[in-house]
Amino acid sequence: MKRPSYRIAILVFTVFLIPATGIRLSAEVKFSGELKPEAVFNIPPSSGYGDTPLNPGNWTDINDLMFRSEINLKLNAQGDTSALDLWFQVKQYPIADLFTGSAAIAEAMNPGSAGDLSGYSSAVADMFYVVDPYIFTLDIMRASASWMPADTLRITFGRQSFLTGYGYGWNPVDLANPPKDPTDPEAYLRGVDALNIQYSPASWINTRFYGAVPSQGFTWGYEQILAGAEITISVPSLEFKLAGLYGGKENSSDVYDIYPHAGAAAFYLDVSGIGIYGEGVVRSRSRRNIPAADDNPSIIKEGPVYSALAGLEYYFPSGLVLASEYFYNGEGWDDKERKDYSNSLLDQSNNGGIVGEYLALYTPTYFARHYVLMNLMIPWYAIESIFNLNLIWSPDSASIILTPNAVFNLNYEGTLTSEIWYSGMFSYNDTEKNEAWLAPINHSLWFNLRYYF
Amino acid sequence: MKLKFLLLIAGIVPRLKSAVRPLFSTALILLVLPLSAQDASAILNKADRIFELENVYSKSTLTITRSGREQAPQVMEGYDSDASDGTARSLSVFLEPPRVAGTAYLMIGDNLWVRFASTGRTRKMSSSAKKNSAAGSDFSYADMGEGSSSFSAQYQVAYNGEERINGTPCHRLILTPSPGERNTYEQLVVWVTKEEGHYLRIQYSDKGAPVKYMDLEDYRLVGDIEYPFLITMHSLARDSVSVLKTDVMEFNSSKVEERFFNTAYLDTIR
Repeated sequence: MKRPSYRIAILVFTVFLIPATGIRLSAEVKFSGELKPEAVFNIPPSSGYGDTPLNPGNWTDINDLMFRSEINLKLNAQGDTSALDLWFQVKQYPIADLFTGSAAIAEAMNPGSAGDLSGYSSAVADMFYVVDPYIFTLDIMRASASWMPADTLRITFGRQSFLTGYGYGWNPVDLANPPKDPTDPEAYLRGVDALNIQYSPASWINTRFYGAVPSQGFTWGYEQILAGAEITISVPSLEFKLAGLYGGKENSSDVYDIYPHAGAAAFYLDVSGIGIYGEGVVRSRSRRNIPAADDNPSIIKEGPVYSALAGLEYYFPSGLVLASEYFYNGEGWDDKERKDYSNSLLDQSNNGGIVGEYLALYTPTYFARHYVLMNLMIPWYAIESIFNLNLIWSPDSASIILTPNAVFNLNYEGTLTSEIWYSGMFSYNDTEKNEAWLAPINHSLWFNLRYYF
Repeated sequence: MKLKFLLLIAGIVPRLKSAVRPLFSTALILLVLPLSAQDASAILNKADRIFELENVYSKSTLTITRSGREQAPQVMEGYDSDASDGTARSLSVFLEPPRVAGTAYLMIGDNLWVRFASTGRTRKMSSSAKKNSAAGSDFSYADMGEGSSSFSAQYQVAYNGEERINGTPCHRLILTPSPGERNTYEQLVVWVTKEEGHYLRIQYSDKGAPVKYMDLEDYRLVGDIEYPFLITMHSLARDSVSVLKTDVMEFNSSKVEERFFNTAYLDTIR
């Protein structure tokens, strides 16, 4: 039986949606999307895919060749004072994707019961179906209606994006969205269910106030509702942001809580063409538990925690774009915690299998405390292509993630592109128990076609 | 105004006695030569009339040809309107092809924001990005966005003689950034037709060498101002040409709204 609050939410949404769908007949309606089939060619380690603490016996069925496909369908209607945004995503991907290069924070499944959906978190997808070795998912990426009663005011209700910040790889100031993957920062992120009021009284100031529901672990209690605000102020050559999130009632159990109370700030300063930017956040507690030293459940890390990012970018006349960032990940693990994690995985492996919560704690590029990112992007106009080199170095955990890629436009209409990329994870000191050492796959080649319509 | 003054002098000359003429002509030359910079300003100001169009809406098609191969035409909408304090503002939104549809550039003065179609993220960019290619074309972000800011407002001008471009007699002017202006090019050479006073060609130089030139053709009347409906940018650094064909042009357009020149609006573009 549906909870009354759920009914209220549906009622409110419907009441709001009906006027929005009555967008004037003159409204512009756009249907667009893309199809992306992708093949992954894994380079097997000398000891095989199953000789890692995360994937003992290769229970996730990692193979030499894996296939992914993704379909995005987008519908947008825009009127003078209202708008509608719908976006569905259908994906087929290998189970191994849950912990290969993905920053998705999820309560993963019990490895011993693949096909049992009960252990999945809503953070993985809205709907999912498992057929070994693949997961099929359907996500509502956006489903929102907007009303603009005045030029300075926009009210949006439904699933929407709150993307913000200046960092290329990480965005500590982004309090509402799921964290992005620095190895693939252009990957789509599912929106957040919220009521969002944006007020822009002048071109130099934008504000937003929102109430949202957590994207995972939500049990429809009023006390769980989130409230957030962000203000952005622009003056010549400088822009800065202040953001805050009241995370509702904080969980004291071992349930993963990605919305603790938080305050954040960010700035972007243009000095002689060099973009200098920074972001910082203080949270009332870490969103990421720390591992027990054995096969006991993970431990909530209490107390304030902060993360910060500093970056530089420059656009050379040749078209070369250089971005460099340092990220201090206050929620990352120190040397002892990484070793505890490794030991715990081994213990669990010997005692019947790794529990889902520990799999979810494997978050490459958010794993250790310190990260340095270097990104080079250069277009090669003559062959309508873009080359990109992304290097992420974790000095404290002694790992390097290298992801060079190239995107080629294939047809005159500009509707078909192809992308080739290599993903390499290197550990230059295995005693640090870093994400590269833990990774079931260290080297793979990816190839995709992307058709836009 | 200086141009009007010269025409007046020229009208007086035929009425003078022939004996006095050589002396007067010499005096006139002496008078005119030091004023050539001001003449150049007058020529530039007249050509700059294309920037006087206010609240401009346009729909254009950008076609890039590289190494002789034509690429997918890119269709974009442009909105230009100066702020009340005179700051140039422009918004460009790409409509086609599907791969770039939804990409948008907002320029307010020296500040640039881009809305990326791939992620939907809106982000401020460094001013060095303004030199970069917009949508892979030979136009930079600055070329696209500074269309609402006149050259005379940004550059100092010097007269550099006459020259025929494609058989059309033109004034040749050298433009260098005015003190305090943060322009993206260190020098422009512009050719203005002697007859109509139109920009016919603009050559952009950086680091001491020409990098590209732009031809402006197909002038049509928009209100009481003639505007080029066909703009071609030729790269001198690579085998590449970008053609910007204006399909629709409206000035004082109701399609240009104040709310467009705000980063919050970028978030609503799809």
